[in-house]
Amino acid sequence: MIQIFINGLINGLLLAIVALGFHIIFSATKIFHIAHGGIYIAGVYFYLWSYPLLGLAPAIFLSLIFAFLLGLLIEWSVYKPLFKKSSNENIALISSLGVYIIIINIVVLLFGNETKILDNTIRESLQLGEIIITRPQLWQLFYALPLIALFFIFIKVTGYGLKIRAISDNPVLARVMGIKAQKIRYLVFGLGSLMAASAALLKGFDIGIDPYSGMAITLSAAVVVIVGGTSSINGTIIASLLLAIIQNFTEFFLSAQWKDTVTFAILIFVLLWRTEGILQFNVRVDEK
Amino acid sequence: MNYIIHILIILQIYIILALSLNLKTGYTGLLSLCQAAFYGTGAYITTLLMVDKGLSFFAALFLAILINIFLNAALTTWLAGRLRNLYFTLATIALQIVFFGVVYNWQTLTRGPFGIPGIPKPEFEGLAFNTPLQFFFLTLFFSSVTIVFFYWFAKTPLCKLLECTRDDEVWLTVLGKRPAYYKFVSISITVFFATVAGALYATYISYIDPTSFTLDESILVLTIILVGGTGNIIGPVTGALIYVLLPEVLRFVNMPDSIAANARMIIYALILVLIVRFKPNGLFGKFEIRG
Repeated sequence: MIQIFINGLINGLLLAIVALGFHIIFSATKIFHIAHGGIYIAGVYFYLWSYPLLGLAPAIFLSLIFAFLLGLLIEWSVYKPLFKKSSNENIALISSLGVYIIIINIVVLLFGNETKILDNTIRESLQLGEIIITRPQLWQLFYALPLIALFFIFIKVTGYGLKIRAISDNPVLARVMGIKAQKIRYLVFGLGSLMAASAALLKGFDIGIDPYSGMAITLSAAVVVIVGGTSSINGTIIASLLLAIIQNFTEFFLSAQWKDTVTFAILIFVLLWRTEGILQFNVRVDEK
Repeated sequence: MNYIIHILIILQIYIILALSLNLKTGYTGLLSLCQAAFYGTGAYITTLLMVDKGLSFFAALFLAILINIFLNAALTTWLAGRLRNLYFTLATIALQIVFFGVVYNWQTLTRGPFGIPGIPKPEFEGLAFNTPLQFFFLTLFFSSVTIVFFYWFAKTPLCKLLECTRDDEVWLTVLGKRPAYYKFVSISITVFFATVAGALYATYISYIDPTSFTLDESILVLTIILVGGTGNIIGPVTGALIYVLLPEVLRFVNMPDSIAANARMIIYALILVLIVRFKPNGLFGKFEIRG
C-alpha cells in the first residue's frame, strides 16, 4: 500500500516536470501545446542516437539543448506567424496537433515504432523497511526535486520569472509596460521544452520509451494544468502528485487500461464542477 | 478491380464521416475530437445487435442510431452547454478517451481487445450485399443520401440558425431561440450519420476491435475537414479524397511500404500546418475555424 503510494509520488514528480513546462507555455501564450509530447519523445530519441557516439553526460547535455532548440524552432516557424496574425487559440491547437504528428512520424521513420530501452543493466534496488525503491527511481527522486525547486525559484524570484507571470496575467498591460512579448514567448517555449525533455530522460531510464506515448503524457499534463488551475503553479504540482497517485492505485486495483479513462473522467468532473481548477477562487476561465 | 472497389468503399465511409463532422464543426462551430467515439459507438451497437440479438442490418442500424443519440448526443450537448472553446474541445478529447477505455475494458459486452469477428453482411428483402461490388452499391446509396441531405439541409432556415449559434450565441438568445436546442439538433444529425458510417464500416470489414476507434482516428477526421475546408459540401469531400488517395499516389512514386504509412501522415500533417498558416479556411472552406 505504502509502496504504491511512493511509486505514485515519484511518477507524480515526473508528471509535474512535464506539466510545469506545459503550464508556463499555456499560461503565457494561451497555446494548447500538444507538440510538447513530440518534444518529450524527440529529446529521448536524440539521446538514443548520440549516446553511442558521445557517451553519457555529453549525450544528455546535447539532447537537452536539442529539445530547447526544437521548442524555439516550433515557436519560430509555427506559432509566431499565427501570433502575429492574432489568430484564435483553436488554430494554434490544430497547428500544434499537426506538428505533433509530424515529429512522431519522423521519429518512427528513423527509429522504428517499438519500445526502446535506454539502460539495460540490472541494478540493486534499495530496501527501506517495507518499501522497495529501484535505482532509476532513486535517480528520478534525486533529479526531479531540485529541478522543480529550481523552476519554482526561477518563476517566483528572478526578473524573467516576473515577466513571464506578467505576460500570463495580462498580455496587453505587460506589453504596455515595455516587456518584449516575443522574447518571453521564446523563453517560455525553450524552458518548457527543456523541462519536457528532462522528464522524458528520467522516465526513459526507468521504463524505456515508446514513440506513441507522447500523446498520453501531454494529455495528462494538460489535465493536470486544467485541474490545478491555469494560473497557479502550486496547483499544477499538487494536481500532478494527486493524479499520479490516483493513477497508480487504479492500476493496482482495476487494470492499467483503466488509467486513462479515470484520468479523463476526473477531467470532465473538474471541468463541470470547478472550471477554474481545484485551487483557484476567481472568475470562471471562459468568462475572463 | 476489387482493389479499386475497396478504396472507393473506404472513401465513401470517410466522406460520410467528414460530412457529418462538418455539420457540427463547420456549421455549428463546435470544434470537437470525439468523432471516432460516435462512429465507434455506432459500429459497436449495430454489431452487437446483429451478432448477439440476430437483428437484421437495417433494424440494428435504426436502433443503434436511437441509442447513440440518446447516449452521445445528449452527453455532448450537455458538455457544449457548460463549456466553451478550448475547454469544450478538451472535454470531447476526454469523452473519446473514456469511450475507448470503456469499450476496451467492458469485456463481457464488447469482448474488449479481442474484437468481434464474423459480423454478417447486410441483407435487405432477400437482397444480400456479399461481394465487394454489391457492397459498393450499398455505400454508394448511403453516401449519395448523405451528400444530398447535406446539400438540401444547408439551404433550410434551421441551418441558418445553426450558423447563428456559431457566429453569435448571445444574439440567438436575444432572438428568443435556445442555443442548447440547436446544438442538440446539430450534434444529433452528426451522430446519426456517424452511426451509419460505423455500421457500414463494421459490416464491410466484418471485424471490429477498439483500436479502430482511438483518438488518432478522431484527429484524422478533423484533419480531413480542416484540410478540405468546412462549412460546405465540397470541402470535406475533397479532404477525404486527398486522404484516401494519398497512399495510392505514394505507391506510384515507388515509396517502400514500410515507410509509406508514416510518410503519408507526415505529408498530411504538413499540409494541415501549412493550410492553417496560410489559408485558414481550408482548400474550399467558407468559414475560418473557431471555438
